[in-house]
Amino acid sequence: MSESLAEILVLAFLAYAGIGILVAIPFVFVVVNRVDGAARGAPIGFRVLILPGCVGLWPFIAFRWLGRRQAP
Amino acid sequence: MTNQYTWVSWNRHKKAYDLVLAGACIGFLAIFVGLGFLASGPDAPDPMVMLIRATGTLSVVLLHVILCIGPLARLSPRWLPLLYNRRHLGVTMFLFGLAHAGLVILYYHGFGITNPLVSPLVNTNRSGIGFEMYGLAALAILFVMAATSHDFWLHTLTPRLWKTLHMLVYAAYGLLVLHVAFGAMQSELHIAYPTLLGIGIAIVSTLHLVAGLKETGRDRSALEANGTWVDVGEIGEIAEDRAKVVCVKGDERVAVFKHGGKLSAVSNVCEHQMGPLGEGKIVDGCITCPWHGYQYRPEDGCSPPPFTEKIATYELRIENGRVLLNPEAKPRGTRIEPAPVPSEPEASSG
Amino acid sequence: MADRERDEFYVGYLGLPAGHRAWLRMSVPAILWGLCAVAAVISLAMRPSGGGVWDTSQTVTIEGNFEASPYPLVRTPDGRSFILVEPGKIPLRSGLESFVGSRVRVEGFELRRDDRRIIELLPGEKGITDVGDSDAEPATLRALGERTLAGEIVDYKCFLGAMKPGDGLTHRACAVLCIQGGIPPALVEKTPTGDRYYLLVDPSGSRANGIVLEHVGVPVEVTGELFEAGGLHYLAIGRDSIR
Repeated sequence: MSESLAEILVLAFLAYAGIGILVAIPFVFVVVNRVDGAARGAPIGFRVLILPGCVGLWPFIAFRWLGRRQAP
Repeated sequence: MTNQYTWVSWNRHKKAYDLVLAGACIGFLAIFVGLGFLASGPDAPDPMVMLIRATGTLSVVLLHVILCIGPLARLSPRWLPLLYNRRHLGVTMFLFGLAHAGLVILYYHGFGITNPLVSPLVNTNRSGIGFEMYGLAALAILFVMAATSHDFWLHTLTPRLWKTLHMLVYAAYGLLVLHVAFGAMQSELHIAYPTLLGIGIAIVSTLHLVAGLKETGRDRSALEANGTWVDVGEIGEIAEDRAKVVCVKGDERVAVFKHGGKLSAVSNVCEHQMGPLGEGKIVDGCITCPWHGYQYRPEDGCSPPPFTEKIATYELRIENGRVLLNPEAKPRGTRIEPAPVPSEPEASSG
Repeated sequence: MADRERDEFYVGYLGLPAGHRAWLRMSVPAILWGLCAVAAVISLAMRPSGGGVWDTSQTVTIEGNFEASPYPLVRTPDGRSFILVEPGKIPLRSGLESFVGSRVRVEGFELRRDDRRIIELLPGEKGITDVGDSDAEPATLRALGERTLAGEIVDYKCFLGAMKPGDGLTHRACAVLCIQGGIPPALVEKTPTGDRYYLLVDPSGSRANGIVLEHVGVPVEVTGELFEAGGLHYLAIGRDSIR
């Protein structure tokens, strides 16, 4: 793999992760309470535990945030 | 069962499980590193290299244990206590894999003229795909699995998508086998390495094969009785507070439970992680799943309040001492009056 | 089966039935002992990582004539040659050409393996200082004819002790990074009487770092012109000299 392609890939990965953090933090501490009733009143340990997944799967989380429901 | 999320629903079992797991990991690392230094003397690897090897080896060994638990639990309920808290094993395995990768990036790809995140992509692939890439791909899969190990993700992704995602563990396993075979086993030439890896693959494959054969054997189709009803079997075949499982319409499994002198039929599939309800037992008047203890009332397939899970129910009839089932599932949570078991001997009929 | 009569049923949040407990008491320790055995076998079966030593407990100071080509080194009066490297995997500092034709004092950490020695320079001015004019001519290259040699291409710093092991496929990526950073590549030939080292140069006699990157860390056969100078052996190769 050429160095320039590798640099692009690493930058893309870091950008994805960066956006993920920006989406996940408000979601995990605030928005999830609205979107999933079982999250209301949940302890901080729960929010920390789902944070990595929210960062990694942030497109999915953003989808939920925007209010589109998944078919049960 | 969750009506409110917590981070870990601790109980005595999970604490014992995690304690044993922690001890096993620390012990493994200590033996690996300690014996390695003792045996090699001045020819020993760098401490960092030793740690890279120890964390990587532990990670792969843990994955073998994890993969054996599933089929073992299908073969005998004695193994269910190991299944119960398996996700902690999985997350632990990922964390050691992450540590391994982190140390590799720091030590082998640091201190040079190239960014340590860029170097692994460039300097491992100079002559074809480097073995490190298989490890990286496996780590990505295992990250997604570890990050979605909480019940929140089970609901958010829906159980079917979640289960499909977590089946990627087999892809991760294959990638790790390639990672070891094309990497460490090219540098370390002792016969012990391919032997151990071969034994590991053989054990995992054999267990899956045997459990798989047992499962297909279980899909005994119910016999057609008359019109819409299928014959489940004799009333006496079903033990008190237990069930008989039959297969209808090709692949749909139904569990027929006996409780308090009555019979009820529900879907065999638990809403939580699709566990085999028919292998469960009625506890406190509720059908209890053998995997994680989720409960459903036999008469309507609903979880007792405050829980909200629901499963499909089926109509039953009793005729001439035999149990007949209408294979058309009713919507989840439909109440169906349990069929009373006649108190006369089965021989007398109308 | 006995457990059917008792009809034991395990649920995680209730107690452990006696039958399950008895089974776990047997099976879990067996699994743990198995893990211990696996750890022991894998650990004991590791190959030796070689005799390289990186002495970071003290610095050494060497005085001798500086030579820049093909790889910068210091040649002491007793005829020994010390190749120079920087800390880490980075190129040698700029401005070393100014030391050509001079006697220098170098200070740093010594890496040694077999009879090979290299010096990792201390950062800054202390690493290398001019102490006068060179008192000998640069060593002349003696041509020894064409050779085909089998071995492995390594980077001269890790293999001599900066990393253990400094060879093999698992170390390859690091070796490539080191060679890219300017550390001399060398072919290591294993013979019954010990390892032989051949620093690799290109046909014009200068650095071969760019040529070898695809062939590092794996068994190779290299054909080239063999030279000797100041106790060091050099192999001059082209791009297609390596199989």
